[in-house]
Amino acid sequence: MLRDVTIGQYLPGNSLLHRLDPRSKINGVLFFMISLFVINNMVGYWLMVISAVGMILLSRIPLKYFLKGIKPLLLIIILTVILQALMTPGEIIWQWKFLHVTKEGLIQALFMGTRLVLLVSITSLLTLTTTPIVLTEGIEKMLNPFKVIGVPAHELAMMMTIALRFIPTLIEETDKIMKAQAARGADFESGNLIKRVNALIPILVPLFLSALKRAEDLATAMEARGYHGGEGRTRLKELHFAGKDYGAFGMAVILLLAAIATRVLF
Amino acid sequence: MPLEVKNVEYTYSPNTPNASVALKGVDLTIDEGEFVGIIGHTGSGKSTLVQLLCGLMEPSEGQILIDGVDINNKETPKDIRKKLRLQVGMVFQYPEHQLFEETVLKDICFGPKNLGFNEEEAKKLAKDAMKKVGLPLKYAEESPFDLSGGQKRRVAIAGVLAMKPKYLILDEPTAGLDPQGREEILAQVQQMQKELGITIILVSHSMDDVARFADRIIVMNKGEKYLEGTPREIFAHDEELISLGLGIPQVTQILKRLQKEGWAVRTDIVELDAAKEEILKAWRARKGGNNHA
Amino acid sequence: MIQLENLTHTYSSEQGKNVAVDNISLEIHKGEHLAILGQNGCGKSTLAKHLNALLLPTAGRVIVEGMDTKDESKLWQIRQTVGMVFQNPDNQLVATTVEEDCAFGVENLGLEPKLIRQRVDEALATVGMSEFKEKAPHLLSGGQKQRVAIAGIIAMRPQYIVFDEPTAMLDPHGRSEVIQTMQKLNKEENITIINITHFMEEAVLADRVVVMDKGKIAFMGTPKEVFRQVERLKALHLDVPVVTELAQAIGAETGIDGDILTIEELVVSLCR
Repeated sequence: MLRDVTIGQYLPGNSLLHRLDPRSKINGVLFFMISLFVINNMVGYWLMVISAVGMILLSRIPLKYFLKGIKPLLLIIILTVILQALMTPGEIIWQWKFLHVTKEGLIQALFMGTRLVLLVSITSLLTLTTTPIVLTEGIEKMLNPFKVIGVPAHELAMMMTIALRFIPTLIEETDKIMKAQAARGADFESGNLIKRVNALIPILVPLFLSALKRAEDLATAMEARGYHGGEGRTRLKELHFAGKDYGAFGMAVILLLAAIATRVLF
Repeated sequence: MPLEVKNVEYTYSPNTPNASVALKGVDLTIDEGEFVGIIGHTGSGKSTLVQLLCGLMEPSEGQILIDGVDINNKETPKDIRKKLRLQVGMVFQYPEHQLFEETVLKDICFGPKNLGFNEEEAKKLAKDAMKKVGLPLKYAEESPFDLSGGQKRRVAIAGVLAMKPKYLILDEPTAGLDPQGREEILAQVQQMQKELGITIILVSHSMDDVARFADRIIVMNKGEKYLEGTPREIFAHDEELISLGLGIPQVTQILKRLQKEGWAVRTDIVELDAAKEEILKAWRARKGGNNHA
Repeated sequence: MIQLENLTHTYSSEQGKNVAVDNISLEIHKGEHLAILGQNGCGKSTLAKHLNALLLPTAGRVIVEGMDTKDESKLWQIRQTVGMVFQNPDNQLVATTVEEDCAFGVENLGLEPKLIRQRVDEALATVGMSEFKEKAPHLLSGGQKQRVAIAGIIAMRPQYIVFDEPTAMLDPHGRSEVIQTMQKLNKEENITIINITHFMEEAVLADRVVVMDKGKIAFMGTPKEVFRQVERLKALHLDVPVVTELAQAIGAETGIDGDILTIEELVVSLCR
């Protein structure tokens, strides 16, 4: 049923990675990504692969969840790899008509493929070990310093929370409206593009009206519960930087330094 | 010709860890012209059942037959199945949430147009439907969103009625209305059955509403047909109904209670006036008896 | 005490003016369970929104525990004193888990996280939703959602709670969950309850019933005083308890009272 839809892909668990402060995790992912673009040789790639595998093992999340994350991007990854292999000039090792594969091309393709797979896996690791709500809180806290230059950190986070809360409700509602219109003989499946787009109007208009009504009700309810913006507001679950978070931060810095070192030394 | 449900089963998200059986082994027949009440808790399977009846979902097992034809048989041409399916009209809970057109008339025309009627015919059907639900024609060119809650609901019901269904399913048609709105809608529904001969299938949580109008009641529980019969037959099972949390009409409850106190009253009455007569009769008898003693 | 003094609310639109609440004066006493009964459009929901300054009077005043709702400096104190539960259970839950939602109002008060945790746990226990605290609201039944909404309000420790048709969208099971919770809060927590409803089954449970019609108070009194006026209620298109109607129908001959509200009372009177 549609109400089983889950937002994000959080997998409950109690590993070290699950327990880290979201800010440490977001920070870690950022450092990992930068490192990924710093490295340019085999040693660097080994460094990144080993640290990624290490983190995945630490999270105790089965490998299949990462493969699931890669699957939708598989086509893009394969295409990039093939293009890299074919387009890089150098020592030709295989040729057919105008197509030729070079040794350099193969290495580049392997690097690029590894880079993409690691990129997807490490972001999956973040969303697999962090609930959307905690992630939102982390983003809010990290954006807080930018308030002085006008970044509405609290408002953005509140919007994300409300979106997360209402997406399942609206999906359920869409399902109901579609059924009601189907019962009036609406056909969403046949006809050309214009016809199909037109067929969406009987769904979109009621959905939009209902969303507006919900927004209005919610605003009233929030006001009645004393909401007056982020000023003076405290939280049930405050984020706390613990020893392990400083550790994680240190590891992230070391990883980046190591990545730079591989580039300079090898 | 009847609407038949043969040994129907329905499972949500089959073959997944979330699979849940919503209906199992349901058999029933609804004859043309009847007023049937389907009653049960949230989660009893009644909503699933009616969605199968109007072809919005296909049963996992078993068949739904309209006039003897299986509405889900792939060998029957698609357009014939659609026509057949649309003989069963369905008014969902809070049907006013499906309105979308600029005017009342245009909105009611949506169904007939989907059935292939041209502009003129559709308008004629729509106006007929407005009359049937007691909506004055002066509202035809107004925006449905400017009407009151009760009127919006009538527009939505008219939108289904304009398709001339033989069977009309109404899922909690009185939900959210105040007592006056509730009475008006129920009276209108009863009139549709009596005067237009439309078969009515009323889905409700309220035994009081169903008992007053239905010729036959079907009680659903945990995905199965639990009881079936005339209101009187059903209320004989009062203790089971109460344990299911469904209860029996108040009038019936009063009579049952009096009977327990030793009064010689019938307990299969649902109307207030009839109950009044019954209680007075017993009261006179008791008083007479006391005088003799 | 909440005092309404000549409260009037007029909505102005292009089509003209609509007087939703018309010169109402009423006192709501601390600790009472008040029901405001009336059909849709009688102005009862507009009146409700004045009790915690969601709307301000266009004429007259509303005084909550000595605070005028027009006094902006008292706004947040008034909203903390008078909580509000709305009709649609879906549209008043803000957060993605039950406990986070329950915390929302208390968070707005700016309390210490430790204290928020304590209040949330207590509130969820009071409404019997503790075991669901990690759940997402959209997976709950209507009655459960409404109980979470109530918990969110009581965590703020209000003295009054206004229920604006809290059961209109619920099934019978959900309805009885909410009514039981409401009564418990009144009896055990000593919170003043103001229940806006069109269900007479709920009004019967109140200490005092105010019947509204066309923006005015039509009449008021204890449930017995109100519901014995069967004809008057019917003229306002309101329901009357079946028991009361039956009692009055047989009253002339049997001599039983016309203010009977429960089956038990009727049976006892008849058997006397």
